[in-house]
Amino acid sequence: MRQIIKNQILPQVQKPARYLGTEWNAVQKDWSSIPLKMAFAFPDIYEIGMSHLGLQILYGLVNAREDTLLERVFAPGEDLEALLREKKIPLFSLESFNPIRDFDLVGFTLQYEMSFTNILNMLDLAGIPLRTAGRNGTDPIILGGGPVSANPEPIAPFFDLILLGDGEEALPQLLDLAKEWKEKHGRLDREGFLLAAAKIAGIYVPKLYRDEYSLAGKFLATKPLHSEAPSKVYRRIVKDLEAAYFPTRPIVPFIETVHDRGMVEVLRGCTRGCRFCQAGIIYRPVRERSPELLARQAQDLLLSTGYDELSLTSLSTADYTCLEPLLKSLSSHPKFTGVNISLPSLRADAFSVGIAKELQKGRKTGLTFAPEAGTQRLRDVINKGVKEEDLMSAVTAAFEAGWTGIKLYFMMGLPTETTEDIAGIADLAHKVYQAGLEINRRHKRKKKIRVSISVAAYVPKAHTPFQWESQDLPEMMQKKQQYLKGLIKKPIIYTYHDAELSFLEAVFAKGDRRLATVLEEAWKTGSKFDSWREHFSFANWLKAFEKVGIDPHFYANRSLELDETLPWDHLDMGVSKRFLLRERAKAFEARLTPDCREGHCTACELCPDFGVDLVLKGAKINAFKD
Amino acid sequence: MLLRIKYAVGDELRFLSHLDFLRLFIRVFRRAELPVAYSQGFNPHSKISFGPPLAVGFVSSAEYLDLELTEARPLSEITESLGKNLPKGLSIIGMQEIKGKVTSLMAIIERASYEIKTALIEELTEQELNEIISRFLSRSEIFVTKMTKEGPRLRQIRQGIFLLKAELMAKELVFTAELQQDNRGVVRPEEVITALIETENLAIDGTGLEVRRKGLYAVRENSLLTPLEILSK
Repeated sequence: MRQIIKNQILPQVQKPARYLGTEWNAVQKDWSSIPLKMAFAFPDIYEIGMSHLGLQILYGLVNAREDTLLERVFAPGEDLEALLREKKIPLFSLESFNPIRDFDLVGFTLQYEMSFTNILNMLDLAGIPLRTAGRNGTDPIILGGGPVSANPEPIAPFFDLILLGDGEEALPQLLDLAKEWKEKHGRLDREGFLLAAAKIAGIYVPKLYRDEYSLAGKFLATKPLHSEAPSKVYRRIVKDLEAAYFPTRPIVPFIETVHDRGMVEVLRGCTRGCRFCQAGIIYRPVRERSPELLARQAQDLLLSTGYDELSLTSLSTADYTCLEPLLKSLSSHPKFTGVNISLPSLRADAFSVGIAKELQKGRKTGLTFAPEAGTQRLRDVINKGVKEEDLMSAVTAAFEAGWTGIKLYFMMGLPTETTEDIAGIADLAHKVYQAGLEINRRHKRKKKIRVSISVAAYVPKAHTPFQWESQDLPEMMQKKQQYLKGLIKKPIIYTYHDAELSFLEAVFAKGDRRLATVLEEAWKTGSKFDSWREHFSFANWLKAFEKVGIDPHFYANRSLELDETLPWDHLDMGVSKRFLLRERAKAFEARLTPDCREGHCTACELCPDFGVDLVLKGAKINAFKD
Repeated sequence: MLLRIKYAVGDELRFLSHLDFLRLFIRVFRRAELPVAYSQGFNPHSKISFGPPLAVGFVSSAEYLDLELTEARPLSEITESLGKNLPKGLSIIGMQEIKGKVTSLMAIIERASYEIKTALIEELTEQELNEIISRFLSRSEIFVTKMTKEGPRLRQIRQGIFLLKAELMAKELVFTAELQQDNRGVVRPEEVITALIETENLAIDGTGLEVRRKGLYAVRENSLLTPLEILSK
């Protein structure tokens, strides 16, 4: 198979270097001598999938064991897919070129809703029945995990298992069980194995539950079908990241990927409490790694990969309590000469810009900030603790330091939004531009100031204080986008998200199991790579909804009753509904909730219930220093 | 310390672009902890310079790059540390220190030799084949069409073909070609084969060519010298 693919198939595709499987640090194990085999499936192209830290973590973790192997598979490009279908070659893994259906487990990472059709397409290319109900003992167990597992209901019928939360501890337990089961029974007989797996904390087995609806079509409940299926599944949380596995020998791609650099994860979780943000809920609590460990990991990583760029990743790296000591120890170490260190996102304050200034070597092209909303009132509603003064001092510091480009992220369609809030986006952008011009004038600089704003269409997400809210209708969203367009003056660059795509995202983000049929229909009629503009066909999706008789507006554009049972209520992310309701009420009064790292617990109830705690390695986070 | 390194590109890496190779070597040198020199300036870059880029899809047994290190190291040590850090499909096959002034690889290289394998579509004897090739080479002008933005453009390549011969091996046809590769022009092996098929009606498969670059040379007094040999001249 390897020879056929390498000699006859790959020369005919546009980017064959995606499918080589021999990148530096890729692990080639002896297929026949490994008792348990798992494939990691990323439902998008190689360049995106290889930028994902989660892949590298699990790849290293599973391959570090002697009894298991993990091989990669990505959504094939269109040209490769056509050849595979024409020549009837099943989807294969990159490392061994074995068919995906020959693995014991296939784990899909669930990064965004609009990758769902790619999952179906990959299952189909692999020759694996789409629905769990259609699979038998010869098919692999299909596993899912990642942020979308916070509400996996629309894809629940396609998955045998879904892992909620951190994988570093739960996945090895699952592999142990699978291996034991295979030794005892020769293979993973589905029924018994799935029932046993459901007993592992954090493992959700969708087929052990039934979804119930009222005659009017309203969702009522998800009920266990089996006495051994827990009524609630709780998210797995790694208590101590210091002891958790981290890959210091990640795969180094041959071709350029979206994030082509080494990564260390300084902390996990964020407790800033932005009310629209799902990541701020489902990765709680904040758990930091010590600067000593991070410096060691960074050193090992750079030596094993040869990268000359290192990213200190997390949801908000500027919040790391030991950022300054870490940067100091990195920059003073001889092994780090010539290494560029970057932070994935900046907080809108002068401190962050100061850090960026120290890190930036060479040309200062652009900095990005996310005020998210155009007025103070709306920023208070969403609990984004950024004040206009903060932003202005951040951009002023950036312009002073020599940056000429500023990018600002906003959201449109947030709850309580008025035209004033939208106009506020334009105002803020113009103020930032004026600040740049002013500094240019003062320093008699001639460099062009570039201010661009990127405006996303807000998508209400499960497990957030705004999970009950309705999204603006796509037509309304488009009207707002055009309204803002009229207010933006040249040379500010204005880009915005596709309202129709964001609408579908909202449908699936808060969907239930009935949507699985829509997904199948849309995929059958050609939808895939939906997050790629050139592939996305809204008309095709609308046809699919119509054909199966489901109204998408029911999911995206309806305000849910506060006492309604929600399709994801049986999946416990750790934060209580009481807290979410309280936050929702405060939002409508535009009242702020402080970050619990400041010392006052905000009673989200996660820590006591899950036996976890904030793990801060330094005294205080910089933003809270007096 | 200045080094000239000769390396081979195997099947595993034949789909990489020139830029991919640049990125790859920077990482290989960092993993091997070689003290690569960096240029001065606003955007420092490592001092590595390559010979003529290898076309995507080709393998090679004779690629070259020049590398500057900030401090001297024994060649044996460099070879050893590089050896441990190469991905499959890449091997170092020669290395020499450059003493004194050096002309860049791009400036000295004038010719490239290739081995080109393809499949026969119709039966052909060795003699027929040789006749076809001599007829082809006896032409004073050979034209190939090159697609440009302005549309197809004709180019004359006869004087860029220094050698062309072929051998029959079972159903396979193996060509050896020595072609122009300098700063005035480059003749590509697939162009030559296409021209041969078109002008002489040769019945071979021109699409699935397997190409190996076998050598890169400077020409001195009518003899060919490799970039390593030229260092000792």
